[in-house]
Amino acid sequence: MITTTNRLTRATWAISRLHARRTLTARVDMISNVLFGLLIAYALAFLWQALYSSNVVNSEVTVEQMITYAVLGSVATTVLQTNTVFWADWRIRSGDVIFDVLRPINWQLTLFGDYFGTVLAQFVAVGIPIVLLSALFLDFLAPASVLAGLLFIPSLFLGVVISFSIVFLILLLAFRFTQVGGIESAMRGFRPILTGALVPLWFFPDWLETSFCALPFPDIAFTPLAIYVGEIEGSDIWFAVLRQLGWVVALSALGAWLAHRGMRKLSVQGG
Amino acid sequence: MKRSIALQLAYIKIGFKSAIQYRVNFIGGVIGLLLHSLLAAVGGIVLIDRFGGVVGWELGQIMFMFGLTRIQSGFIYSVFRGVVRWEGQVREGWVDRYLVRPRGILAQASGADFDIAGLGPIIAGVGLIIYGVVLSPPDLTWWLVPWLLIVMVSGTMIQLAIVMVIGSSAFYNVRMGSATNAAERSQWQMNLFPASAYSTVVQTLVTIGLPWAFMAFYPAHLVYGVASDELFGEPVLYLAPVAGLAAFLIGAWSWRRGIRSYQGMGGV
Repeated sequence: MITTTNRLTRATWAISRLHARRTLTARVDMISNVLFGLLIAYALAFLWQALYSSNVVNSEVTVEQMITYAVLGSVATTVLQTNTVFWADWRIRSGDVIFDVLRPINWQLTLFGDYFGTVLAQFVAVGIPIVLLSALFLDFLAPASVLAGLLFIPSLFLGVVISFSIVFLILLLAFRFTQVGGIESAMRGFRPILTGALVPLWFFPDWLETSFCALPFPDIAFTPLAIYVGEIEGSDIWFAVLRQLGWVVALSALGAWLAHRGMRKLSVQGG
Repeated sequence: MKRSIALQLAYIKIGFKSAIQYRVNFIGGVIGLLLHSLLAAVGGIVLIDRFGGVVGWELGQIMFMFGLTRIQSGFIYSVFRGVVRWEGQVREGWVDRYLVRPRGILAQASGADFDIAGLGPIIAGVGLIIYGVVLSPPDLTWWLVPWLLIVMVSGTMIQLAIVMVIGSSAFYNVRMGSATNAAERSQWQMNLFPASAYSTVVQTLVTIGLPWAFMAFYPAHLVYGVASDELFGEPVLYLAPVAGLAAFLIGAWSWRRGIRSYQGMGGV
């Protein structure tokens, strides 16, 4: 059992490294993502400054926390965008997915390796430069506490896994409906709002915040970012991370079950 | 020109027929992008309503401006989708085929990848404009409708120009598809709030570098009779058509340069 887990982990990591390298070869993509990510981070930071300076914001959150949140939100929006759905959707449509599922590694894990490798490369090549360049000229804060700093990265990782799980569920629709690129395009628009990366959920009316929190989306970006800036603190941090873990388990299991069903459908259209 | 338009319309017809074959993707695409625009607007509405406006602009006025930009994005998304996805077309060798056909490459590239999902932002944009007008009625003048039509065309040209400049780099780089997405993402996020809310540097950038402020922000001053207390003074409020044309010329120049240096993809 341990040997199998080790083998799968190594294989997934190898796929991740491969896709990370592939992502890093697209230098124009990386540079333009840094530039546009910086533009959004700066624009939002100044927007919050303008709102705070005109005394219209009635919140316990300080302007420095909001600037930090805006920068990290811009990073999350930029880094989590991949072409995994478009690429895999095309493989399902063309039938090439058969070569993926025949490999001695689970198809879901293969795609996770692809997604994680791309996100990791974008985090290193795009996310970190945005944070460093923002920290030079804006009031970017360090993590709110030692615990926040320690749990921010695991929380971010769980956010990536939840994000992938949702991407995977969208992709599985391709077994039934053949083409799902339009749905993914729409999701790209939803994410900045639903995940709380553009506007923190504490600014939403209670009913809307509660509705959003009943979905997995806020646990992709809002939870790690709120932990970082100290809006989720103390024992609530553990609770938030546990909730993320719960979403990971539930969505991954649902994905695995639906993928199993999808494969049966695939064998019908296979010939 | 007439033939190019006829070709474009024929492509749209084929694209529409093709799109409705995949019904879920068709409906999901249109509704999805409609919801995308509306949900983005909801995020803005919640924030702006909570703060009672942004730097002197009321909620209705901001939604009116955002609605305008969504309609322009809808046209780019559907009619000029092939230019947005230009990187893929270059990589797959489609340009080789376009070059030997007796029609303009831009018209062929645009029509080859028509996407009906662009109707979503257009419908959302119309809805947001109506919402904005109800909340903050503009000054009703005889030139209002012609002015909005001009703004619509020039804003679409600005977006198209940016997409063309980014797309033309596909002739020199193997992969740059997410650059276009990054530009589109930044455009809608920044247009959700008035440009005057940003710093001087950012406002200068969205006026001169990436002229997104001409898509709705400056033209809306005239619609609402708002005096310019902005960075660039009164004349800039009238310059949307000039900005659109200038941006398009730069885009076309960059596009032509790219095509001239194109070497072919061989037997891809």
